[in-house]
Amino acid sequence: MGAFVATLVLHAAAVRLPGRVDSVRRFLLVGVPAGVLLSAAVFSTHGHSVEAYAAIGLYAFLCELYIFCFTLAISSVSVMMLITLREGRLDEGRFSAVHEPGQMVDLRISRLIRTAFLEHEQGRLRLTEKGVRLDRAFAALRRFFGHETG
Amino acid sequence: MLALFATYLLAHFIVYIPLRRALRSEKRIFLYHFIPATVIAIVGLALLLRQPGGAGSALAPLILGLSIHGIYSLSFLELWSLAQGGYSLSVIRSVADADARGTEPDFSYLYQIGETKLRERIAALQRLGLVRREHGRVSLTNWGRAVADILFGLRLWIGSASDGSKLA
Repeated sequence: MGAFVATLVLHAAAVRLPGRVDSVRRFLLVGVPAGVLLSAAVFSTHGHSVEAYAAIGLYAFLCELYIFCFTLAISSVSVMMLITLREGRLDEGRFSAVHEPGQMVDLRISRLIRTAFLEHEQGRLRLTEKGVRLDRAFAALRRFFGHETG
Repeated sequence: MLALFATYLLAHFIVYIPLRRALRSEKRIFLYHFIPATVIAIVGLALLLRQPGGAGSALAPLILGLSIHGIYSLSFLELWSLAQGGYSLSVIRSVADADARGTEPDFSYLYQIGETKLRERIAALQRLGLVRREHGRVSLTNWGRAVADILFGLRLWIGSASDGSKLA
């Protein structure tokens, strides 16, 4: 638990450093070394016991849960709505104006260009190799989860 | 004990395959993971408390089992949710389709999805008791304000705080 709290503090410091690395990668940059150190520490004190693996498993689960929570907090539209409403009540019509769907698509496109999934080529949007791989992977997942059948 | 747990997780995954058509709603797929994990936690704790030598020796396997279950379920549900309707993935799909046809991507249906999603999300937040609608206006409930404050705190923690309208 101590290792996880230390990782959270290090992550909070890491996201405030300058640079274009996104917050998930910044978390991995501190979380993975902390996990390796934790593993070394518990294996040296408990050996390859269930207790040691339980400590590592709990750390890994808490890290995944934290990544899920903070990515939700920074990118979910529902969370964005709740945070907007902290300032006071809004007309439903005004909500659509604040969170204009066209703007949502444009922001997604610029984010996908920034993360090298899309590129502009001769004035047209195209998938990069990375984008093609992602599209194929999720097409397979859609088939597996049965999302493609009406 | 751990071999039994690994078998359970494998069985949970295999049983999903024939049931996947019946588990296509968010609520059902969530319950498919949440209910067994909760049952395991309760049964595990009950067995621990009945141990004659104290709970210490069996606590580690329970923590390990629940952690592995948590990692499996969270990963599964995130992939399920992204594959179902990730907005960015829909943009990628539109560009891929347009590439295949040699035309410009058509995002107009995504704008419609965006409008529908906004309405659905307000309704979903209302069902969760986080917001209320009165005379065409939307506001936070007390519970909603507490959740919004926590989420805003999390955004502050990772240095990403701004008003919601700057996000998407």
